[in-house]
Amino acid sequence: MVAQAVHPMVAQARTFADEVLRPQAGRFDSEAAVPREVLAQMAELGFLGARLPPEYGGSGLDALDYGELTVAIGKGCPSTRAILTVHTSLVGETLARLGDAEQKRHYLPLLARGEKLACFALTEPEIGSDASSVRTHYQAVAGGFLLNGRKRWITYGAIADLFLVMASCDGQMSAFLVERGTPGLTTRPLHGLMASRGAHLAEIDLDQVLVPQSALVGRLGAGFSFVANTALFYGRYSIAWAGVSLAEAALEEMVGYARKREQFGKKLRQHQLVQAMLTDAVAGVQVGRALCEKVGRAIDAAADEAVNEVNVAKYVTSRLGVQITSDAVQLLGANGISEEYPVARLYREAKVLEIIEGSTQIQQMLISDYGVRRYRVLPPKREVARAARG
Amino acid sequence: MDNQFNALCQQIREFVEANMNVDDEVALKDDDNIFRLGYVSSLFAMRLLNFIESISGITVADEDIVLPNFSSIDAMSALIQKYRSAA
Ligand SMILES: Cc1cc2nc3c(=O)[nH]c(=O)nc-3n(C[C@H](O)[C@H](O)[C@H](O)COP(=O)(O)OP(=O)(O)OC[C@H]3O[C@@H](n4cnc5c(N)ncnc54)[C@H](O)[C@@H]3O)c2cc1C
Repeated sequence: MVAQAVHPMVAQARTFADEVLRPQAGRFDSEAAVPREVLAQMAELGFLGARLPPEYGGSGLDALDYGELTVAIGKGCPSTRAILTVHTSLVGETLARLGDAEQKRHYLPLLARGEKLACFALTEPEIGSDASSVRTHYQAVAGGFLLNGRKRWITYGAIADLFLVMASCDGQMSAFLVERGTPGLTTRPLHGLMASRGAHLAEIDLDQVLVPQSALVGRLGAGFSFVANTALFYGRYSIAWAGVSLAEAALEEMVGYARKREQFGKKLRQHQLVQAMLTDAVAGVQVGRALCEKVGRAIDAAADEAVNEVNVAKYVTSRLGVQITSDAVQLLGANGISEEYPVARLYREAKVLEIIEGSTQIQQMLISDYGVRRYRVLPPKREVARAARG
Repeated sequence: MDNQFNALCQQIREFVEANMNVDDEVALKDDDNIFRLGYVSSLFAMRLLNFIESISGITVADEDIVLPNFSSIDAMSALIQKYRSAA
């Protein structure tokens, strides 16, 4: 088999993950912060602009290579991977797709260089899955728009410089770019979380925040149908790969341990019930990868099927992530719950992926709707049937 | 109306029909508002935008990326026509 060429940025990301992230991920988790220097290094290496167009200073990685980059960083530290999801995918890619010429010219180079960190602010204390019902309100006023409301669970919201905020007015949703420092915008870090502890989650208050007309992304009323849905599509692709990253990291820990640890006079890996866990993990990682690669190829070909298939991939890999990291804890026994090994942290992180970017239940609704169309057997067309009858 | 334009409209119609969440075969009319009638959800709007751009080669400008331009076969035909006559 010929080894496939690895994109240089992916190779760099793997080295960065091994040298910088993996050794420190446990500390970032316990200290509840990915340090700014680490994000600055990510920016320096071009990771934050990986998927953004080269004409705006990005590296223009294709979707498949970007998936590999996500896996590399995600295996090193899930909270660090989260900056790729929100900054590069949810905000950067969405601006590249739907921003106007001036928004792209102004913001994309700043995002690509990591000079501004961006986050995506949709969810609110009272509105989660039912995302089209956000209560944060906008009002057209002289000079722009006035925003009022509260957002919650916003990844990297505590330190971001730029907020892509979804707000509604008379049942119509619109999207706005709000810069930190705008009067009336305040952020409060969220603590005491089971996972994503290092990812600077925040609650965001918008109190009479005045933004200029130029802050509107897309047209008025296009906030949900186009902007949020586009962003969530890119975000879901990122999260699908994030599931693979956790599964793969857990599998590597399982393998390392099963090859060393002995019980009943033989290596764990020689016990058949342990082999079953290893088998499920190997198969799961490969299934997850195959689904994500399929979506990546569809995105690179601009194929419509990507939009439905990304839901399938996200649904499958987030659940596999929970299963495989859980088995990893099991395989390591008491060491599995110790902070001296990463598997307990991977297990905590995996559960998040079933909640965000369309929970497992929301995916089940979307995928079953897709399934009853895709796998419907249509009656033969009349002419064909007639010809067949002769 | 030239053949190429008619073929594009037919492709859009087939794309919409293949994605409608309806149990019984409904006959889609050219002026049916596919969102209001519940044939598709607003999630489908973005796919329509991508689909129209990919089959027609046009790039829909920011000011035209609004739901009413994608809400019926007629509206989408008019959108394409607008870009073709501008070209
Ligand atoms: C770590 C983390 C990071 C996040 N980062 C961001 C971010 O950067 N930006 C952002 O905007 N948001 C973010 N979120 C919020 C996330 O998008 C929401 O948590 C998610 O949409 C679910 O909403 P909810 O938590 O309000 O749960 P709810 O919507 O209240 O759902 C609760 C439960 O009910 C189920 N449920 C809901 N509706 C249905 C239904 N119709 N049928 C069946 N079951 C249903 C759900 O699946 C879930 O199990 C983050 C959340 C977490 C945990």
